[in-house]
Parts: sequence; structure tokens; C-alpha cells
Amino acid sequence: MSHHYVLGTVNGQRVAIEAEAVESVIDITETTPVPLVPPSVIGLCAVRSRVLTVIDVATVVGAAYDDPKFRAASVIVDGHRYALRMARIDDAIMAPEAPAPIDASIGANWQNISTGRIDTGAGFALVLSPEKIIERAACTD
Amino acid sequence: VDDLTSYFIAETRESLEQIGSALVAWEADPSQTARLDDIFRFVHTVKGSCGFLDLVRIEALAHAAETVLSTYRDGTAHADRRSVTAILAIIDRIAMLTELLETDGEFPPVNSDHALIAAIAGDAHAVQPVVDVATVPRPSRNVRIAVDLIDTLMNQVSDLVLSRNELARTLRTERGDSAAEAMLEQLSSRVADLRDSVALARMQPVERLFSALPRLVRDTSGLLGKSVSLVMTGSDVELDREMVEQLRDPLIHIVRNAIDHGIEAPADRILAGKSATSCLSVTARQNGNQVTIEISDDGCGIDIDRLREKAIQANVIDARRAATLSDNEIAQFIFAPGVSTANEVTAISGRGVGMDVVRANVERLGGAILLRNRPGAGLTVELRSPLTLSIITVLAVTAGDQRFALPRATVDEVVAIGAATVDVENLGQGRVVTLRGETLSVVSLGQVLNAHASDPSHLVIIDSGSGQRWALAVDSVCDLEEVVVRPASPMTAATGVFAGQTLPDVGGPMLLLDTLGLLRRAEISGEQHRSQKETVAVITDVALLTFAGLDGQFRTVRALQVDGIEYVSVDLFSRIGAKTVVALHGTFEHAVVQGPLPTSGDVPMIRLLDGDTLYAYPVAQVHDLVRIATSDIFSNVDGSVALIDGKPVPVVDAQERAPHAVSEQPVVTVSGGDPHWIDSILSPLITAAGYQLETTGTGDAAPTITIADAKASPVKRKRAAR
Repeated sequence: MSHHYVLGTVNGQRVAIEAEAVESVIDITETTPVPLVPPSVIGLCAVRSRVLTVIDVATVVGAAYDDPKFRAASVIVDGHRYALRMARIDDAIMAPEAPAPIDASIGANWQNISTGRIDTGAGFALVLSPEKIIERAACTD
Repeated sequence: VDDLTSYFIAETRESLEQIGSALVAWEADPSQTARLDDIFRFVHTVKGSCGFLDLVRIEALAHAAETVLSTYRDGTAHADRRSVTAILAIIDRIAMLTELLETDGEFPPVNSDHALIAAIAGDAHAVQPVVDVATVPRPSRNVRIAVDLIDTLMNQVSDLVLSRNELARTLRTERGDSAAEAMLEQLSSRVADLRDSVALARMQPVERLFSALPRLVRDTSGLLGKSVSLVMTGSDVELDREMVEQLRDPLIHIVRNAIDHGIEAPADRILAGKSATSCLSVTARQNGNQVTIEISDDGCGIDIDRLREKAIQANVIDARRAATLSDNEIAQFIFAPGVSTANEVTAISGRGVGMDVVRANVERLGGAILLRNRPGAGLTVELRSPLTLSIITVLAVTAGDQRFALPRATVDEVVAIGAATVDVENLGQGRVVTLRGETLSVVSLGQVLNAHASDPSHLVIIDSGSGQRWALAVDSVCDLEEVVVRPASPMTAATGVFAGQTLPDVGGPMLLLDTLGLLRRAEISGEQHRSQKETVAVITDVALLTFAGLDGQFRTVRALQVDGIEYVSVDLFSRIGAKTVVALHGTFEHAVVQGPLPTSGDVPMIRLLDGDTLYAYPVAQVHDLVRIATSDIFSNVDGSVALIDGKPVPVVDAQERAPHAVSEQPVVTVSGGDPHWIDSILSPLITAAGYQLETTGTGDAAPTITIADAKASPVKRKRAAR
């Protein structure tokens, strides 16, 4: 069984999110900050009259956002809409095989939000789980 | 009609439509039995459902048809034209009875059913009963729609509103095209109508909320060994679907509390001279655009003395202050975190968490909870919730550079820091403000939210419940807006200071503040934030908003007539002949311009309310809200003057300012009567009806009211479309 993925980059690392989980890829022009939240929560943005909470995935893995463009994948987790901000979300691929397991060698930060790795044909990409990203974003300081 | 029955009605109607063609084919050719299975399945299903729902008449009909149809199916008998007609008559009767179930119409006599059944059984002498079709009321037609579709529709309407706003902005740059502006106005009112209709489509009866209660009451009372009879009324009152969902938990909590804490054990009830079985009534009713759900028990009520002790134990208040509070004020402590009246913790309740959460949830909806305690005789809890959607009116305020929304229901008044009557002083680490003899704690919004460069200019006086007044210092106060509140993401909610998020018509997303959460975050103890007002004055004062008019003249207006203050670009004003209109939120409002408008930039604009008509009143600068004694206002038919800080200030009257031709209106003359009553009650009524009011001599005598020209009809004034 083949899987479709949306490809992006986080802190130089190629990452993939299952296309089925991604509502759309959006360019964020403006965000409203939310006081008192963890630093990975950038703020709120509006897309087609819906309000999304913008999460910076680089901050979740303990790095800094490194792209001048504000591009994000919009996902729904537990009924809430989020925009997962990543650098260069610019490709979608079909991987013929299920993701291969990953181990602790990728580091705790990455392991916390990844479910496996896939071969994109131009190198490996870590498969990120939106649920795990949201879970980590809520507790990063 | 309960849930199951209405489901049965909808299902039966759908199946009837589906077998329609089979019936027609069979009627045309009784020997054709190919689709007999469909018809058989229909009557079989109806029979089964009716047995379940105890609808004996329909069940008997379906049973008779099923018996005959089964003989055709297995080939032991053959249908002829007469028997087909008889079966179709039965199916028609089932359809009719089903519709009558829904419309609550009067059923035809039951023996007419017997005749139909006899006819199908082959009794040739059976007379076909004639039913006058005209007497059967037409049911309102219904379709079932997935909730998701309604939500999609609502989102599309919101998108439509955004597009309209975009269009309005574009049109503004091409000024003077009155045809286009008129079309835009028409579009706006159609969009508003559409939004109302979609909102109506989202309404659900509170039945859905009530349906869980009988089981809950039975289980809870059983567990506690109490005997409770539940009476529910008004379950047909309708409420937005989302509100129904949001009210579920608070309602369940209150009902559980009533059974656990309120209602006594049967033996105690008998000792107290009550019947062993207690009565718990849950009533829903609609008043205007509010729905009230009243949960009333005949138990022991709140024991005020014990609650006072508990509140002191929980450090919510100190003993000295507690002694000065009224019983009703003490009763409010059931909403304080950590206070419970239960003697022991049970599996049901009594852990002291809950009522504070319940109240926070209800207030987030823009609703309120009220208590009516009858010590020894019971407690009534009133849940009030707005009817329409989760649209609530909010006051937008700023801290740092950011806008936040406060539910209007919690805002008592707004005062400017630095105004003569507002005295803010430091008290230890905190600050307090003394306002007309009342000392309130001040919480700075900027400080609580760690906002940069926050410089408070106004205090918003917040009343989060009876007696709990405090002041929130904000950098500026923007305007009142109607917004749709959505739940915030878990990270946002975890801060404890935000109750939800919203997308206003203009600008980006805005966060809705949770006033109780702010107070908790600011760590003000319950003792401090309680109002220290000791005396309750009879209301003999009037609130006035003072401002400098465009012509520089210092004026004032009654605060009651002010609907809101907005800063509006001067580009939005346009002059047509003698009238001026302002384009606001996608519609036009009449504007009264007294003096020259600035040539560019924003101008503060007071929105005045005259009856239900809004007028925009641009001014040079809004000063302050002041309170003066009613005796300090002098008025006659030509206007009013207020005495503020020893100086006379003209009072702008919304009615006087109403930009319609006064001379065209028929005149109503009132002679005699209490001038205060005439000014405050009679005059608005008469002018709202389109008459002009003249008074000749006032006094204690009963007033005489004369209409100058009996034939003249009032000039109908159109309400500015919103």
C-alpha cells in the first residue's frame, strides 16, 4: 500500500507529513500573538474565516525557524485547527513502502514527534505526526 | 413529539417516498409483484417501530397489511384490483396518521381504521370510510440535514460577509457612485438575512438537553437513597445547537448538586414536614433573545451560616467582612473555588470543584447563573443563555498593541484614568481605585499578559457576579462588537485567562478574555476583590458621557442613550443633500454632523440610540463618563442642560438629534403629569411611534393626551439596517 506525503524542511532536515492529515498548505501573512503560551505557539492566523493556532515546528525540536517565508501545513487535531509552520513546504510524493522504524539515534527532540522515516528518492525524510507535534508544543518552554 | 417519534416520522416519510413508484406500478397492474418486497419491508418496518413506540393504531394497520402481503409473496393468494386498492388505502392511512402525529392534529375515529382492515381481509361489504382530506392540516415539511453541512453553510456565510466587507472597502475608494452604494446596502441586508436564516437552521429544542435528565435523576437519587420526582417543562424551547452542547455539562452538574446537597433523605424530609418524595423541576423558557433554564428543588436550600464558615475556612473571605455580607451575597460563595457545602465528599459531588467551573462555562457563552435561595425550603438556580448562536457582544480593549475582547455582560462601566472622580492609588504592591465612594482592586491587563509598553488609560469596571466588582486597567477601549466565539486551542486555554477566540469583521483574530481567570492570575484574594461598598444608595444619579463637539462646544449625552463609541475614518462619511450618512460595518447609518469634519484621519463617533434607531454622532474628542444627581439636569421641551463641575453643559438628546423632518410629524400634546415620567418613559414611546411631543404645563395631575390631527398617521421611520 502506498502513502502520499507532503514534504517540507525543519531546521535543515527533510520531513514528511501524511497528505491525508493535511487540509491545505497556506502562506501566513499575519499572526495575532497569544500571551502566556509556550514559545512554539507563534499566535493565531485567519484562513477563510477560520482561526488557526500557528505552531513553529523548528521551535518544537529546539531549533529556530530559518525561512523568510511563512509557510505552514494546516491540520486538525482533536477538533482544533493548527497551522504547522515549516520551511519550504514545496513538494508532495508517493512513497511505495510503509515508513521504516526509527531509533533513538535521531535525538529525543525528533523522536518525540516522528513516527518513522521514508525514502523520498532524494534522501530520507522523517515522518512527523501532527498529534505529537501539538502535544510537544504544549509543553516546550 | 419526542426524539424517537420524530425520527420514526421522518423515516416513514422517506420510505414512503422510496416505495412510491412501486405502489404506482402495482396499482396499475396488480399481477406485477416484482417490487412487492419493498412494500412488504415498509409495512414490516412500520409495524416493528410502532410496537416499540406504542403506537397501537398504526401497528394494527401495518399488521393487517403485512399479513395479506405475505400471502401474495409466498404465492398462496393473488392480488386483484380490489385488494390492491384496500392495501393502498391502508398505506395512505398510515401516512396520514404519521403526519397527524407530527402536527398534533386530531385523529379520525378509530373504527374507520377497522373498516379499512376489514376491507383488506376480503370483506366486500366493508364500507370505504371517507376522510375529508381538507381537514388534515398540512404538516410543515422537514428534511434531515447533516450537522456538518449546516456548519459548512455557516462558514460559507462568514466567508460571504468577509467578501462583502472587501467589496465595501473597494467601493469606498470610488466615491460618489450612489447606485453602487445602494446595491451594496441591498447586498448587506440580504447577507444579514441569510445569516439569520442559517442561524435559525442551527436551532435545536432543549429537549436534547433534557433527554438525559430522567436517567441521571434516577441513577443519582438511587445511589444516594433519595426519592425524587422530576418535572420537566418547556422542552420545545429552541436554542442554538452549539449552546445546547455547551449547556449540557453545567445543567448536569447543577441537577446532580441539587440531588446530592439540596434534597434531603426521605426520613429527614418527613421530619421537616415535607413529603418523602421531593420534587425537582427543570423548566426552560424563552424571554426575548435569551433562554432561561430554571432548576428548582424543594430541598433544604443553602445553609448560609455553614457556607459562611466554609468560605472563611477556605480563606475566601475573613470573618469580620463575612459578618457584614447579606445572605444573598454569602450564597454566591458556592461559586468560589474550593468551597463546598457538602459535609463529606461523595462519589457524586462535594469536592469543591465544579460550581466555579460551571459559572465560568456559562459566562463564556455570554450567559449568567442566578441563585434564589429559600433556606429550609429549597434552591432555584437560573441558567441564562443567549439564544442566538454563540454570537456575543464584546467590548474590544487593548493592552500593548493588541486587541482583546471582554464579554459585554461582565462590563459595568468604563472610566478614564485621570478623570476628576477617578482616584487610583498604590496600595502595597497593588493598586486600588476609589470610585464614588467604592474602593475596587485594580488589575492591569498589560501586566497580567506581560505585554510590552503597556500604558493604561482607562479602567473597565467588571462585575463577575453579584458584588464582585473590580477594575481592569487597559490601554484603550475600542468599541462594542458582535462576534462569534469559538473554543481556543488547548495551549491557549491552558493560560487560564482566555475563554475563546474570535474573528471580528475587521482585523485579525482576537482573544476573548476570561475575567475570572484574569483575576485568579493576578492573585487577588477573594477578600480583597470584594467590593467594600457598605451602603446601597437609592438611584438618584444619572450617568453622562462628556465630549467636545466638532464645533468645539463642550457637550454631554445620557450614557443610556449611547450604544457605543467607535473611531471611524472621515472617508466613510458622505453628504447627500441635507443629510449625512456613514458607511459602517457594511451598512449605512444616519449621521448628525454638528460642525466641520476634519479633512482626514479618524474621528471619534458616538452611536446614539433613539428607540431602536441608531444615529452616528461624530465628535472632536470623547472626555469622560460622569455621574451627577438627576436634580442637576434642567430640561424643558427645547432641550436639557446638565450641571457638571459647577458649569452648565448642554445635553445632546438622541431624539432631538434624530435627522428626520420634525414638522412633518403629527403632534401629540400632553398636559399635566409627572415631568420625569414624561421625559423618561412617555416621550421615547411617543417619538418612537412617529409623533412629535409637546407638553403644556406639568404637575401632579393625571396627564391628558391629545393627538392634534386624528387623521394624521405617524411617519414611519425606518430602522437603519444592521
